[in-house]
Amino acid sequence: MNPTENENGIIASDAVVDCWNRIGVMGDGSCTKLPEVVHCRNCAVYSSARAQLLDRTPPPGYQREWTKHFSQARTTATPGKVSAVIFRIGTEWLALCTRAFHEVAERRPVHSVPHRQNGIVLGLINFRGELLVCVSLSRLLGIADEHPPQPLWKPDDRLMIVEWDAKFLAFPVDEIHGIHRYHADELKNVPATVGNSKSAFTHGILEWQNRMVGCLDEERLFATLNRSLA
Amino acid sequence: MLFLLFKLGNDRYALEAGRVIEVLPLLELKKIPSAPRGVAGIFNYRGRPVPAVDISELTLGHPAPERLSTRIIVISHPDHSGKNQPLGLIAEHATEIIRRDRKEFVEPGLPAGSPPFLGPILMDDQGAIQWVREQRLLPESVRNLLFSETVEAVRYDERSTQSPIRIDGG
Repeated sequence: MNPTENENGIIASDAVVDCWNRIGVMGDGSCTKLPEVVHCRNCAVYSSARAQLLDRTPPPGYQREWTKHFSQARTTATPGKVSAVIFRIGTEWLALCTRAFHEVAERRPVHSVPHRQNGIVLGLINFRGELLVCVSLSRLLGIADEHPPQPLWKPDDRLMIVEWDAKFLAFPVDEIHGIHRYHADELKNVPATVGNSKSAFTHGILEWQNRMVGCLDEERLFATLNRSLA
Repeated sequence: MLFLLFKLGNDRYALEAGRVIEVLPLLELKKIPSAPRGVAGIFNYRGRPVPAVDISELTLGHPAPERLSTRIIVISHPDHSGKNQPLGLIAEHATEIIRRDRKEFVEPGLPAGSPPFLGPILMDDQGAIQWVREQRLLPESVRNLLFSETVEAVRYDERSTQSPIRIDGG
């Protein structure tokens, strides 16, 4: 065994000249090589110290552990991941594919449109100077007891701006989790006993943080939305 | 081009990274009785037996020390029929890669009789780096022995459940 190593095979700290801690980027920065290499990690002294650390004898069990690891067949991460944005409307957690989303905006005043008070259209909103139709997904999906009227600025109250077939729409949600990636195999079928309109727009159930999230079928959802706007 | 550096004694050598499949830590090897010098043994590489050759023992005559920086470089090596097979090379200080142009390596004009795997040399501020032609690393006799054995083992395995070289989880 090399005399600079202790009984664990670890090189004693005085054997390594830790100039980066004294005159390098972790120290006072007075090293003359520093203007040339910019950061200590680009310096040959630093990389040779790193190489020195790898000159230790392997700890006990090291070889056995790696032998076991490399005797297993190579596993690659599950490919074909799908990404969706998870949000909540009323008591329901829903997911919609990420590529349909254009932006998440703050809730803003909705200007009601005459004679369109009862359908799924809530009204028009001003989004970056453009008028967008604001729809209610809770009415479309038939999510029971729409949340009671809230003060206008509720922290999680957001307006989702979605784009499908170059048509923009906005709809309010109560809460947004963010983007979630899942594998298509994780989707479970919608129970056949669920017979309301919600299941017609849901193509699967995703388990997320011990909650059941309904994944919305974007094709069917946007087709219905566009039809009801006509 | 990308090169993987390793050391033989105090000198640095380079392997073409494109020939390297994977760099593994030093694994436990199953020794081969009466194997020629340099053949360190056989290891379980993702379920298949792959021979390991200690470059240090093959060329300098003493085995590479057991260190964290001594690693098994798995390369694809042509067998006698020209088919590529994985081969483990035990190399010291296999911790660095460099990117250099092929033209920066210069033929040194080695004397006749020097080992056939030694290729052109690159000079940098820390000294010389010599290109190792991994396909010529093994002497003919060793190469035939290693790869004919592997092929034989696979064929035997297909016929019966008993395999001459048994590989288990650890």
